[in-house]
Formats: sequence, C-alpha cells, structure tokens
Amino acid sequence: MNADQVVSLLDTALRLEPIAFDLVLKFASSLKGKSADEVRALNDSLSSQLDSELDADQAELDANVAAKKKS
Amino acid sequence: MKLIRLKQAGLIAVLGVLSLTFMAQSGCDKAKSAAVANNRYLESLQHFRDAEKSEYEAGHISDEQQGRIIQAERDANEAAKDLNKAIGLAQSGADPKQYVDAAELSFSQMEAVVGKDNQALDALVRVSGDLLKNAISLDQALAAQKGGN
Repeated sequence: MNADQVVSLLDTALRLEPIAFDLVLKFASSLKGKSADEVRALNDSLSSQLDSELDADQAELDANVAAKKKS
Repeated sequence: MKLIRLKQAGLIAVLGVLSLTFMAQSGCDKAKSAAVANNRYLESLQHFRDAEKSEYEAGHISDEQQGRIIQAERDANEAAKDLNKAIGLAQSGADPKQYVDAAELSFSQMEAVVGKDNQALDALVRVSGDLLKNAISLDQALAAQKGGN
C-alpha cells in the first residue's frame, strides 16, 4: 500500500467513524431478559427492516440512473 | 483523536465477540448466545448499509458499484436469515448444516463484491465476517451439544 492509498483509507475511515462508534454503542446495549426465541424473532424483524431499506436504496438508485439518462 | 476513538471502537467490538464466546464456553444458554451473536452480525450489516449509503450519496461510489453492493447486502442479509433458521434447528436437535453452509456462501458473495470497490467498506465487511463466523461457531457448539444429548 503506498502513501496515497494510506491517506485515502484514513480519510474514509474518519468519515465512517461516527457510524463505527454508534455500532459499538449498539453492541453495548443489552438483550438481557430475552429468551433465545425472542432474540431470534427480533433478528427476523431486523432482517425484514433491512430488506425494506435495501428496496428503498434500489429505488433511489434506479431513479438516479433514469434521471442521468434523461439529462 | 478520531482515529484513537476508532481504534477504541474496534477494541470494544473485539471484546464483545470474546465475551460472547466466553459466555458460550462457560455454560450459558448456548441457543441464546448464538442468537445474540447473529443479532450483533445483523447490527453490523445495518451499520454497513448506513455507511455505504453515505458513501454513495457523497459521490464516492458509482451507480454501477451501488447496484452490485445492494445485491451483496441482500446476500449478507440472507446469510443472517439462514443462520437464524440454523439456530432454530439446532435448538430442536436437528442438523443445521444446510443453513450454515447457505449463510457462509451468501456472505462470501458479499465479500467478493465489496472488497473490490472500497477499502474502508471492505474493513467493515471484515468486521461483519468475523461476527458471522462467531455466530456460526456458537451455532455449531449448540448443535454439537444437542446432538450429544
């Protein structure tokens, strides 16, 4: 890895840092008191939520591509 | 200063993985440990998606790359769904292997796509990959325990 690549990597890491820090806060949050089945149900719900967000991301991408083709 | 916080964040994430492994090995509820580990993996995917979206909106990811990454994120989410099913099967004493294999395959598809596009996102994918491997090993420990009963 050369110096430019290192600088570019550090720059991106700093942009993503708030997201990484939030991830650690989430890890610290507790699932205490929930049974295995309850955590699995929560996981299913998180997966469904992620599916919906990815559908929205795809729609946004399609709209961006269509707009660029028009212009 | 920010870099130090990022390193601290990485250290805390590693400690989280280690504590989950310790919980499993010390006789805590193995099914719950595996489910919690999968939950951590899903949280990491959610954060990956947030990070990736901001990179795209900032113009650091092309439309073509974005299309491939969205599909990769879907694959990684399928890995979580497969693993959740595997944990349910292992809990009931059935063999979860087919779902574990499917989870590993889905995630490897994500690794193959993202690593080529963006080094920082690749680093986040590696964190998710470690969390997935941890969840799989806990699920396999649960299956071995149930299989031995």
